[in-house]
Amino acid sequence: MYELSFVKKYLSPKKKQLSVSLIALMSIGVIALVVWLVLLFLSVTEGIERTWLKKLTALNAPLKIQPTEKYFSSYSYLIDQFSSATSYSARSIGEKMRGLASASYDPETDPALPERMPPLDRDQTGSPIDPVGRVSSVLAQLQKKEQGLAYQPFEISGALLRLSLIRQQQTGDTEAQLTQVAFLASFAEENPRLMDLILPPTADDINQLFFAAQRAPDLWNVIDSHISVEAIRPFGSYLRLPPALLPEGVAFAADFSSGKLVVPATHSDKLGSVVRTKEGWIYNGKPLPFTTALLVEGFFEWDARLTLAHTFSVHGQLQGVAISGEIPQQGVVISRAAAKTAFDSSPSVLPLWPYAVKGKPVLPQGGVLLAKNLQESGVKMGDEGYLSYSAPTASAIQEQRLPVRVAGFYDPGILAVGSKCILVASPLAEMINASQSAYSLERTSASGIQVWFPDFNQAFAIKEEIQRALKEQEIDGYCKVVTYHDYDFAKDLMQQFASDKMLFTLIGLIILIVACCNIISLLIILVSDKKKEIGILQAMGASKRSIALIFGLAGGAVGLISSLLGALFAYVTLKNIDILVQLLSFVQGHQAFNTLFFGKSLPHDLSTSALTFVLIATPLIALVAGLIPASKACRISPAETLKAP
Amino acid sequence: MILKARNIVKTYTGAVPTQVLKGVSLDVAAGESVAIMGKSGEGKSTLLTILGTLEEPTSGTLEICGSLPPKSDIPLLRNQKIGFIFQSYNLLEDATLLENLLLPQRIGRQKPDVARALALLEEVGLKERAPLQARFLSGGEKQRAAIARALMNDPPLILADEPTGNLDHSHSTAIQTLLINAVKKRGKALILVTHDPEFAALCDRLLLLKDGTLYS
Repeated sequence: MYELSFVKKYLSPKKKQLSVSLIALMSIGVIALVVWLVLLFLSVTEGIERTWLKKLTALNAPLKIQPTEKYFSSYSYLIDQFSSATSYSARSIGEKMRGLASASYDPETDPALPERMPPLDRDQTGSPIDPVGRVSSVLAQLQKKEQGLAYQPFEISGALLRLSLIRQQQTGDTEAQLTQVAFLASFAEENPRLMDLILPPTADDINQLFFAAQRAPDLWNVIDSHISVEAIRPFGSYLRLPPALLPEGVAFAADFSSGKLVVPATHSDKLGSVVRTKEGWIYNGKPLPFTTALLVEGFFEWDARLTLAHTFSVHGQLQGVAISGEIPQQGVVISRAAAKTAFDSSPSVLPLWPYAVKGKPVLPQGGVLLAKNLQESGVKMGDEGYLSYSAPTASAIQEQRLPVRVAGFYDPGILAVGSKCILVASPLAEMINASQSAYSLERTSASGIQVWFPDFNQAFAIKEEIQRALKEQEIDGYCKVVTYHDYDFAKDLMQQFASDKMLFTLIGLIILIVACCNIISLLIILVSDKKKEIGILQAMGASKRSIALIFGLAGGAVGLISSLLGALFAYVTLKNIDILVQLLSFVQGHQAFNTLFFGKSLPHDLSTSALTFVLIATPLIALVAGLIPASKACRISPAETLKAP
Repeated sequence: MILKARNIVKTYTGAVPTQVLKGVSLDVAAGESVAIMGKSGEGKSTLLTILGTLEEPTSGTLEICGSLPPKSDIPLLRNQKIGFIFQSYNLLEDATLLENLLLPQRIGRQKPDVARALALLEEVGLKERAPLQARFLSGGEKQRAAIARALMNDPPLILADEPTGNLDHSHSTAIQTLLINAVKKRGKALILVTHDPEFAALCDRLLLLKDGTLYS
């Protein structure tokens, strides 16, 4: 194609066509800048949206199957209330899926069914309809087809949480109470991303565990098996050191004015000096017995590990001198430690915090998980208390109490009820719900089945597939399938993100069109400049279409080069966006982007959809812009331009 | 018949419409050379551009090699059947001589025949200059290159518009001989517009364009 060689010739910078070259460079620069800006904004917006979606779909699965009123008024649901096998109470979806009940009514022994009882639903073939069983089989089939798909029934109920917060203080132990109305949601072991939401025990939690172990020695088993201490620091301002910790014959700056040897953590020339000998301390040449307490003052952190005798073996520096040895637990707190949370097989000593066995999360028995903001309010792992709820008895409504222990904390993301949601073992939530407690929740949304899959963009496709299968099974009236787009607490956010993206795409498009208008001026100058050449080409047999193509392609090429340059700049900028954010924060004098909304750092990845949009739209707009000068080029009369001057 | 023009009329519209050609008819056979002379402004170049399909006549018919294809195929006809030689050479100044010669083939979507281009350049005495950009050549050399380019696609009709108009006498004579010989040797039809009677005398027929009419 000779047209391309002419495009290349016309766009190559040349001294002879300086004005055209300058305008071409300017056009490329302006369009590249716009492309950079559009890509940067769309990538960041999409990244934030993805982060929020991840948060949203981590705890609340991207898809839920929820029962409808038809289900609750169906024979299948109501029959359990008349069956002695189910203790005359309705079974939850979870219980039914676990095969704990259903169709256990015995007309011989159980009471007669009331007249208002609906008849058993049957499908077109006459087979009885068990909605939960059929949904289960639909999901089991789908699981075989869709890799990574997981599902689990969920239950939401309400109760009053009361926790007793016993804390170790320098002046003695203190106790406080925390009372909070809470929603109870089932701990979803099948959720593939649940472990990402669960926060590992902090040093504070581990300190609390050590404190609890002093009262319950069984806990040492757990500590010895799963906790590795890494560093300790003094609990208060002073720490009494065992004499053996200080090396013999080395002088340390010390003060003895209070009758105790006070050694600052860092060296000071203004103080006296203390030296350890075999017989005792020598303070400023004066011997003192080892019974004289030696206290370290100030902050320090020493590497430490827990010994079998539950003391700390420490290594560190005191006034720049290396020290090592064992110190008791009293007076120190753990500043760094790690708790094991992943196991290849079920551990013999069960941790008291959530852990994963081969990646599958396990909630310790009797444990509950609280939202992380309660951790910020002072609740610690190991705190004990109870869940209180009302349950009707034969004569009255009585308060029931279920003992619970805080097993850890999780990130609730943008869960509507935020800090008020507690994750508990599924049977607990089911039991409280079944007791018809005072916290009456909308029953069509308080239970159902959560479905997870690796890519939440599949939500619509999977929803359609499930709906089709439910229809085939004739149970589409008993349940509805909802995706995260339908969640009340997410709808507004999702719509806002979509509007933001649409708005900026439109603005980006308009700016791109304006930027591409530069191409029109560039090519009009080029056409005027190359009038004679156009005439020569026409005389040699070039068609009007070929002439138009040369200038159209020139426009498209400017667009393509600019988009590639802009995309490259955007990629580099995104990879170094933290530096840009720091610069912006420095210029503004405060944090440029709120971490609550934008996350710890802005997204670093170039959005593929934005890149596709820009790489298609820009050359296309540029091509269209090139058509205006191209049509002008076509109208050039070769007879006029080629005639002798 | 290579070219058959009948009653070609060309009127330029404007504030005062001017009829430049008033019914020109012309037949040119293969191997025949025709010189058209006339005063400046008589419409010689206009007639030539009409015969070369670069401009449409107001009325009249034109046949080249027995027909005139539809408008969309005219560029291809021009590429395959007509070779142009202009007074101001009209080479691509920043392209090499070889590139200039290969241009008609590239436009016609043919495989560039470098050997043929070099042979033609040798014939016009410019083979050594093939890699030079056209802007570095003298006027005479440029016109020789333009003759070679006109012959590149082996067209049956050559249209030359005052090819020696910009050259001094010695160069002019050389070009005249070169063009006439090249055309005769290949049996091409030539229509030459010139002011030079000596050049015109080298052609088989001499025609005079006066007041828009062609006289023998």
